[in-house]
Amino acid sequence: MGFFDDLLPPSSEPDLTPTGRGDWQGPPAGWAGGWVPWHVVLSRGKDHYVFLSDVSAYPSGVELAVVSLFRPEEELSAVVTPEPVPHLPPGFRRVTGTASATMVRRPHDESQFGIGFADGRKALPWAVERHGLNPRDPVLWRTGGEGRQEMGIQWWWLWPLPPPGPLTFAFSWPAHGVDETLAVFDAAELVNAAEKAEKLWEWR
Amino acid sequence: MSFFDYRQPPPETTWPQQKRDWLGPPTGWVGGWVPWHVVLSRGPTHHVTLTEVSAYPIGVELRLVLRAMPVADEPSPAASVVTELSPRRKAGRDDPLKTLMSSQQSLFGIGFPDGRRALPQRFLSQANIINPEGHPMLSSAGSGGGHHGVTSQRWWLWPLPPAGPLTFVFAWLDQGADETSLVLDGTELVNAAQKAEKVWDVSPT
Repeated sequence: MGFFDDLLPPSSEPDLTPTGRGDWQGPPAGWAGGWVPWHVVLSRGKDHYVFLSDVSAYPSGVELAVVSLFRPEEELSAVVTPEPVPHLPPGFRRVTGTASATMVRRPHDESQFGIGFADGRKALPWAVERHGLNPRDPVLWRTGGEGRQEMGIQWWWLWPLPPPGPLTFAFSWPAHGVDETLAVFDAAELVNAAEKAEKLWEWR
Repeated sequence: MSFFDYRQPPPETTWPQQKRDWLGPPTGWVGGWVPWHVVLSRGPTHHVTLTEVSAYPIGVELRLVLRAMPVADEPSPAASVVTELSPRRKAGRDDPLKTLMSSQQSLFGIGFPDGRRALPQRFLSQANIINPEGHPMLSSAGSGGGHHGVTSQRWWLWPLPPAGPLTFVFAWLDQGADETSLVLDGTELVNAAQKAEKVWDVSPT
C-alpha cells in the first residue's frame, strides 16, 4: 500500500475554534534551531529533481526545505502531456507539496509530500478540513517559499518533533508519472539536534 | 582599512568573461552540496548564520539567515534587508519591511585567497555589473521569510573561488554589529564543485 493511499477524510468535524499562533504553525520565535546535515534527493526524473535540505530541529518540531528543480517550460512542453488530477476522497484536499512558477502555471500538476513517524502517524500538509485549527495529528505547515525560473523552494514546519526511530519521507507527482518514492532517516538525529536549539531572546 | 572600503580601485586582473555567469547558478545544474552551517555574527539582538552552500564550476550559491530581536511596537529589523531585494513590496502592520533600515547598514562580502573581494552589486559601478571582468561579485539570488524575526538572503558568488582561505565578512551596523570575519577553507568549495551535476540540457536563450 502506498504512503498516501489511506488518506481518508477525517471521520469527525475538524475543530475550527480560532486560536493564536500554535506550536504547529512554525518554529518558536526568538529561537535558532539545531542544524541537521541532511541533504537528500527525494525524487528525480527526466524533467524534475527534488531534494530535501536545510533541516533544523527545535523542541517543538522541525524546519526543512524541499527544493524542486524543473526543466524549463519550453522543454517540458515537448515531453509532458498534462493529465487531469485523479479524483480525491470526498472532503480531502490535496495540497501541493512543491511549487514554483512553473507549477503555478500548470495548476493540475500537484505533487504529494508527507512524513511518516516511527509510531505510524503521518504528517501531511495542513488543510483546514482535515486538521482544523487545533490539530492533534502531525502537521506539515508551509512557512514560506521562493523561487526562480526553473527552481522552487518550499519551507515546511513539521510538528511535533518526531520520536526517535525511522522517519519516512514520501514524495510522488502523479501528474508527471512520478511514482511514490520513500526516503528513510533516523529521527534520533532530529531529537539530538533539537537539544542544541538555542533560545536567543524573549519574543515580545 | 575596512573590508568594505569599496572605493579602492579594483585589482587589475582579468577573468574569462562568460555571459550571465555572474548573475546566478547555471540552468539545468544541481550544485555540489557543502555542509557548512556557521554563525557569522551574533549579539544581544541579532544572529546571522551562513548555510545551504552549493558549489558549481562557475560559482557558489549560499544563504544567510538573519535573526533579530524585534523592537517593541516595531516589526523585526531582520527582514528589513529584504527591502533591498524587493523594494516594491508593500509594508503591512506586521511586515518587517516597515522597518526602514538602510540597506547600506547590512554588509556582506567574501575575500578570496588571492586578495580579491566579492561584494554585492550595490558596491560596484554599473560598468562592472554589466561587464565584471575579473571583479568577483555577489548577486542577490532571492530572499525568503520576513516574519517572526527571521529572514534569509540567497547569494550567488561568482566566480568559484580558488582553493585556499576564504574570508566571510559581515557587519550589521543598525544592530551594533561591527565587522566580523570568519575564515573557511575554499578548497571544500572547489571539491564540491566537481560534484555538481548537469541534470538536463537547456536550450540557450
